[in-house]
Amino acid sequence: MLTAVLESLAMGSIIAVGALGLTLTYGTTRFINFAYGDMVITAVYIFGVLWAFMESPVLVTILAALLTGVVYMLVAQAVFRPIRDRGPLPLLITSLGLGFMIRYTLPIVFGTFPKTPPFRFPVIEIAGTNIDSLNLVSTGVALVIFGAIFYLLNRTNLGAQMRAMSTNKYLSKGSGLEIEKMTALVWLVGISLAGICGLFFYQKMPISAGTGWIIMGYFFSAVLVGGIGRPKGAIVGGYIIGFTAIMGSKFFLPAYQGAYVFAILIITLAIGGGGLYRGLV
Amino acid sequence: MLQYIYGVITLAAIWSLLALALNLQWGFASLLNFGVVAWFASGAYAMAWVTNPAPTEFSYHVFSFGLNPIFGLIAAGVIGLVLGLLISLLTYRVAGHQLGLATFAVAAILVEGLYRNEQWLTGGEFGILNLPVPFDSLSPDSQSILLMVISIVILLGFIWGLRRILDSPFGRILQSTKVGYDRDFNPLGIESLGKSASKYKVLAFGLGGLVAGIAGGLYAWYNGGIVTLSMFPNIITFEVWVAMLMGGAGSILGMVLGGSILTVLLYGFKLLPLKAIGGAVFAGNFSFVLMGLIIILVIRFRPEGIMGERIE
Repeated sequence: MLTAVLESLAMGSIIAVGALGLTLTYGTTRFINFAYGDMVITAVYIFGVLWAFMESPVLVTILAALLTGVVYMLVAQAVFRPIRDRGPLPLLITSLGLGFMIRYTLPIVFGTFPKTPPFRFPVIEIAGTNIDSLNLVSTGVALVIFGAIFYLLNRTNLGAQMRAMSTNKYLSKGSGLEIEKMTALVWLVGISLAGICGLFFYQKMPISAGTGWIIMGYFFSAVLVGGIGRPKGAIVGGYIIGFTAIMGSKFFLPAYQGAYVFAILIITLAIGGGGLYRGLV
Repeated sequence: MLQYIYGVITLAAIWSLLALALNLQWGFASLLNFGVVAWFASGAYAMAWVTNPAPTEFSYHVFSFGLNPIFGLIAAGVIGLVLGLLISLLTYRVAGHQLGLATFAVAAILVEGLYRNEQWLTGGEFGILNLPVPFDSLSPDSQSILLMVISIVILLGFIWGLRRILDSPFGRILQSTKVGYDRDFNPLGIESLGKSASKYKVLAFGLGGLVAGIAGGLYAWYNGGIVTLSMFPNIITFEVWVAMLMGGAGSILGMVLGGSILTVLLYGFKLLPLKAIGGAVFAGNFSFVLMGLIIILVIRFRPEGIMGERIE
């Protein structure tokens, strides 16, 4: 039972980090990014390339996540920016096409074999029980990230600008905020979080190009349960989804892990789609 | 060779039907469906469930009805309709882009969850084999000609029917719920006339589901009476979107054009010497990269597609 709780916590943390990135980018551009799952797993491929140059887990993880953020910030500038003023639906369909391109470009460039991590976290023994230290590390890292993001959003000038932009873009623009720069910055932060999330998923399961599409539903569910565009909601939603996925597959039918998560998504939509947290960011 | 061409034409008709289904949902009522494959697969499985032969020691599915294939086609339509109505009723309160999420979830639950894991129902990866296909007793050549004719007749029937529907009061109100790309839906206009916009949207989504379900039933025939899970990868959803966007959302004949172009793309690429240029992985993935690019470019530069009307 303790292992199951720990594992759920870890899974919840990983999903919450990914959902936080998704919700941050949603806050600026206001469309559901169907390429997000593919962006998440791109970090794994970038990690693989960097690992060939230096074998330092911490440094390579950070670099790979940041690089993912930079790459997709630039891609978003090229693909989403020209049609940003045309409303959410063209952006959404464009993201579908972008995700599609990523998913089939990755195997062409990096090969079709599922990627497994070059190092593993050891199983340690605490008070007579075996605990996978990955679970502890991912929970800890996630907590640090939550702290950093909330500090950024609530305590810094930059964060106040981000929140202002998410609340009312036109008013912020009128007040002299540099919308374009801010949007790019939020995408950089958001997709870097996606990268970190992807690198923790890397430790959990072999990653192939199709994985992104499957795990994307977890982030969608988390974001929607919490209230879309709300950082707090993304974190709470992440843990709800993490516990649902792990507890569901441990104590009920394991093959239906994804189905439990998606059922939560549909229920949220059926009762109105507002999520737990609403209102201003 | 001729049989190959008949097959490609049959497939083009099936893709056109799918594009027509999505067009009903997105093109006429601005309802997103990112789970087209769920309707397609459900239609094919409905065909399998209604017409499947008695299980043998080699098969996984446990029950057998063995009805005439015609009933299979009806069942395929009914399951698509019911599934469409169910999903749109469940989510009719939320905005259009969230329906996209719901359909994405439905596809994941049904195809990746239920159909993959419940072997007694679907045979899992192994599938349900030896379904009766109409005109079994004829030679393969004449059978494929007849299947092609049936598919085209069904396609033409739906085109005719949809035109009638769109000219009817129902269709006119339905089209007034279309929002185009650039606006959020505002139901005030319709509701001030005493019509419930969401009712029309629910019906349109169900009707689209019916068409997609029948396309699935035809696909089971096209595959020679075999329905397995590997026939329904996620890609199908995108391919239908590509066909629909190319043809032009909102245009009925555009769907036939889009479906045909897509089929030519899919099969034309198999004839090109891509393997020699970039190896097997490149050859297998390149056409899909191109499709993603088509989606992005169409939305950016020509959102009305080839035959659609521009909404300003």
